[in-house]
Amino acid sequence: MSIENFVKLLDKAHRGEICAVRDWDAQRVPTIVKEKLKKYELAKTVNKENPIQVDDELADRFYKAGYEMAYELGIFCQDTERIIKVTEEDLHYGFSRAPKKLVLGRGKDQVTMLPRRPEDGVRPLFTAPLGIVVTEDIWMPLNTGIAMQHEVDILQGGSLNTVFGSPLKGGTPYETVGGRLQYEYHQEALWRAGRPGMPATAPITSPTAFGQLGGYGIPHGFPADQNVCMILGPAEMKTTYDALHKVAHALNMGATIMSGASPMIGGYAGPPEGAAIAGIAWGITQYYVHFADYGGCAMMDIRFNCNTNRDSLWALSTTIQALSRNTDLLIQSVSNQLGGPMTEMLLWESAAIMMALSVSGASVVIGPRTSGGKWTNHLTPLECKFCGEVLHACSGMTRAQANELAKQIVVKYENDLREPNVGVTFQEAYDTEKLTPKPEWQAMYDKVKGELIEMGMPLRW
Amino acid sequence: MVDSNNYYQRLADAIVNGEKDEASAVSQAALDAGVNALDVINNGVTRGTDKLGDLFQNFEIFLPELIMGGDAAKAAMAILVPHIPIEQLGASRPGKIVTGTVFGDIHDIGKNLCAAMLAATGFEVTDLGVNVAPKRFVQTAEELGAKIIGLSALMSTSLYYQQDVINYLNDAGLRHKYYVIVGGGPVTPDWIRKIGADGGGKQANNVVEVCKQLVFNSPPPPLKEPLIIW
Repeated sequence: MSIENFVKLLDKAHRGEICAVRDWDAQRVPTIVKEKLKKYELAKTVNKENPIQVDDELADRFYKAGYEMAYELGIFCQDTERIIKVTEEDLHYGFSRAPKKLVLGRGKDQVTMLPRRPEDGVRPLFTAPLGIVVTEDIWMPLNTGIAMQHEVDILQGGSLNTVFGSPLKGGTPYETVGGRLQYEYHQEALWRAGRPGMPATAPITSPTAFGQLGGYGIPHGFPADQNVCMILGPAEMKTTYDALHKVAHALNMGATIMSGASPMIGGYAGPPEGAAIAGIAWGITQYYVHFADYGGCAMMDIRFNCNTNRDSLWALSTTIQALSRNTDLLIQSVSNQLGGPMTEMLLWESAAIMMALSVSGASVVIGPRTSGGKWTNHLTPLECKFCGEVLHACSGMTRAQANELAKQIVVKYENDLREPNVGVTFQEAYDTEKLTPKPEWQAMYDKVKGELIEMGMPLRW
Repeated sequence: MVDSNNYYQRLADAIVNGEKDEASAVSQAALDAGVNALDVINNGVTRGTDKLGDLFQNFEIFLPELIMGGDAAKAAMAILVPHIPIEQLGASRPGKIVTGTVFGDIHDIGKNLCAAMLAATGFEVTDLGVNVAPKRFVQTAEELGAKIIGLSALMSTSLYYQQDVINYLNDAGLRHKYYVIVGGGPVTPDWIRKIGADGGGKQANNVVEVCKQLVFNSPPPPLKEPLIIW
């Protein structure tokens, strides 16, 4: 029945209430967020002194606010400039069709994703990396190196920005070719890493629908039965034809869909508490609008373009706790760091955000977004390994323990968020033939990991 | 005697509160009372937009309020500017800027933030929205007589379209008419130099400063060395 329901949803995108995008951004979204902040007494609840939220009752109030916002506001279709009306029944249809367990990949590389609660001992999955441009000349060694890290469960891979040396322009046939090329590179990287059955979220090189249509679910493309199709929507509470094309394509093949979006602190939803409400509202709506098998949200602070500052850690931990406590859904989230390879800042930021998401109940986390995802080739396998280690080690910790640790960790980097050290490239931080970190990068990793163990984080050597 | 300060303060308040109709009404009332239009801009609009910027920087207001405040400032300027003598106009008005997110990209928060701050600073901003083809930026700039074209991109795969707009301007023999500024997640100072843009800023407030310096203190485009505030 999914495809018929999808067509009904398309009908709503074509016949729903007309709304100018400016009205949506500057009036509808902020108005309902303010209303929910007031109704549930959520304004000024952000607690900078305690970056990881620990109050169940508060998380549940946030969930109620986000749930109401979802069906009272709906979703904005950016292409038709109409509102896709969402009812409570629609939301529950989305919940009912979403799986309670996902098995991805094959053979010894197969992984299982399960719903989690805050402080859950169930191992969350780790997907790496997140949207960092990697040039074709080093794509293979870098991504092979990442796939070799057994703390990485799902390979997303670096984004291509060229195809056979030509600029990969989004929305053109270059992108269609790029989706296919990404699969070729991806498969070879997995084979070289000795993990041929490792699942992917794919293809990362698909800014519009063309990359997915060219590289996913087709002969000689990412097999739809083992790999996850990734569909993102813009903030706040919006979808696009490109996203809906991807949904249609995925449904046509019976593929697994991951959906996401990134509420912005300081953006249309306002303060950290408002962004959390918007994150929850979008988090639950995408199971209906994008037919997500697993969904959730990231979080970005518009001042820094990261989610490792205090406000973001608090808002995102609240959002994920609200979702994981009040649903049985598979919830994903994302890390956005600003420090770069060969900096301690990157490792401290990673420790804070991965721990926050692990103890808040995320089923799967995608990251790292090294150097803010802004600098080409600023990515190494070592921080991917580190992120996975922290994420996995912190499952089962209490939020109170994590919060005490977070207080010690955040002070290590928060003063550098305005002017972060973006570090160096893969080539500068690694022996690109042996795929081993240079001694100074390894030494930083050892130092930070050692300090975290001394602080009480249950990491192992 | 006319209490000019009263008009200045009411106008500044209307801008801070995002009250477009009130901003228009106060501007008209000030003119009717004989207050000099340029003084109203310098003491009322500017006071309001400066306050708006400070409030946003301190997160006492957020993007929606900034957008509404920019709209109110724009409404005031529409009333006041026709009353400024032509010889004073050039020195007091930063001019028109055409902005948008380039083709293949639908992300708009960063672009909207910059557009709101530019509008709040007195630029006449024409926002073409998202997924805008290169030629449309140029056509609109030609139609409006803009001074600056602002190109936003959040994806590495859409960055190339920033370069395409500059190539189009070069090929059409129009590059000397427009400053081109670029911004967005993957934009770096190296990229700005590589594609021959005239400037860019790390944050939205930097972009405003770049635009002001381009319009008031820079040689004609294209600049040999771009103006980058990072």
